Amino acid sequence: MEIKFSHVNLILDKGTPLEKTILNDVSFEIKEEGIYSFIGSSNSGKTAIGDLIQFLISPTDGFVKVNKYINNCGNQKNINNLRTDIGYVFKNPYDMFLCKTVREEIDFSLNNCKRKKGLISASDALKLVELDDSYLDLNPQILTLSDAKKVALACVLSMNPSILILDEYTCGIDNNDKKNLERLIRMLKNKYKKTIILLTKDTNYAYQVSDKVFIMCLTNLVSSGDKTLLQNEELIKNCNLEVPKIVSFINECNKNGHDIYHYTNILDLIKGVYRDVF
Amino acid sequence: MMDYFKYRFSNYIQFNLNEKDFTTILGNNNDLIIFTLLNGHKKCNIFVGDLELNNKNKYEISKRMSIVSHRYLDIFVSETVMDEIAFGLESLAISKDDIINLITSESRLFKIDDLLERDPYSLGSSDKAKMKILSSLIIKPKILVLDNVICELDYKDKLLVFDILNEYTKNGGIVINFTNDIEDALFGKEIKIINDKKIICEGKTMSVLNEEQLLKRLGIGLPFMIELNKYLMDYGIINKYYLTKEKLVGAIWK
Repeated sequence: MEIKFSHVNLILDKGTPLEKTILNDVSFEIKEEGIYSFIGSSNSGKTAIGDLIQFLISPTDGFVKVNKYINNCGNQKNINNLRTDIGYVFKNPYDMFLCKTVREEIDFSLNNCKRKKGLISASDALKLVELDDSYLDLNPQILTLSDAKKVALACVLSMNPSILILDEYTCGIDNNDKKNLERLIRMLKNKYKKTIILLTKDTNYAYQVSDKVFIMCLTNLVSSGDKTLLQNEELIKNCNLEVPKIVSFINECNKNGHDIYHYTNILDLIKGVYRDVF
Repeated sequence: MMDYFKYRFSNYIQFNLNEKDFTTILGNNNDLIIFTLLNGHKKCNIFVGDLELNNKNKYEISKRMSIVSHRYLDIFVSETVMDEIAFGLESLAISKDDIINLITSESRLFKIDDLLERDPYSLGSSDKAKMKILSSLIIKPKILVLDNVICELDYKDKLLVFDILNEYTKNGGIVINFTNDIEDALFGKEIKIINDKKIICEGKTMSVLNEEQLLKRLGIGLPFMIELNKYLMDYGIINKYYLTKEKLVGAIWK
């Protein structure tokens, strides 16, 4: 699989008083499987990147290439297979539901990808996201925010996509769900060679899980690289983001003349501090 | 002193709130409480001041209590941000000059004064949430209920909004913040944890955060600084809580 953005510009309502620039000359390339995070505050154009990868909108200039499919102005043909090959969980999960019960909702996605019947059922899909069978007969519109997000993820996963895009998934879910999600996406990456793209402003979570980060600020892609970028406090603060709490603590230690390695996990950090004290 | 706000859900969930309270409610029954606050329920008795919430008193109570919910963040009543904020004031029949003065001063506080002429659909999620909080707060209600909207805000905006809410509670308002994120709970004065229609734990913020086992069992977790302090205490490196990183670093290497 391969995702390539080449000099993409996106301007909404061009030539009218409501003209608004969403993306400004964004170019990057993703070649192999892994967990990629696009980090940026609101108004930085993260959602537009998700929409462009799933061909929901087309760019004003430049092109987007996903596998063999090309998305540029007015040239989107034969993209039916692409829709089921990319799983996209929207920011507002209630937008994704169109059936009366959760069971019908998941069966709809299963029928969509023309899988053989009987191989996987709705309850199997719910097990992946740690929900039990009592949810099967509920109306998805009355679920709480965190449960609705999980059901939306189950629908998407049941299509077995090779690229999974999660838009602001971590906001509004509790600590346990964050840990389960981390385990799930690590499993998808290692065992099934999927590409996971997180669009998020939660730098604490992105610092834990991601292999590679792209930092965005006001329609521009500022920098990209591995997650040591998030240890640069000045860059993060300029982009109107929160410095990860663990990084700000370690930087404070190192400023006072102690030598502590940049751990991502709190348990490793404690051991590091213990070794330094005694 | 009389409690201003009383909530009774048959005999499962019961709590009272007084003026100047800033309460964070964590747990898995948030939607149930929000639903009953919006519509009322035959099993549920809600008192705001001396009035009980029912069909007759609905409009009187909506002057005293405003609710911001994540479900209605994308629903707007008018074409510009200015009209959107003025909607509550117009229904209270306040004169036009007062409305304009009030909005220009308050919007500067929330740092959305340059967005007043924009279409609300074109705003980013953080600005949208700020606009909704402002349009609820501008009619000066006694009670402000926030349902999962704080998580939509950027970090700087989050600090700004919590400053404004603290100021608002000092002047006699009540804030009830429903959330799933334990980090937000550090800003409030009290925490209530509701699980399976029961109040499991309530009290001042620091005393609830001491219940480490309970919070981990319910899947809520601990804020980063508290967790770090707890582990360091277990290793015997420090012997009391330090909530800022500067003090903590000073205490570890004495």
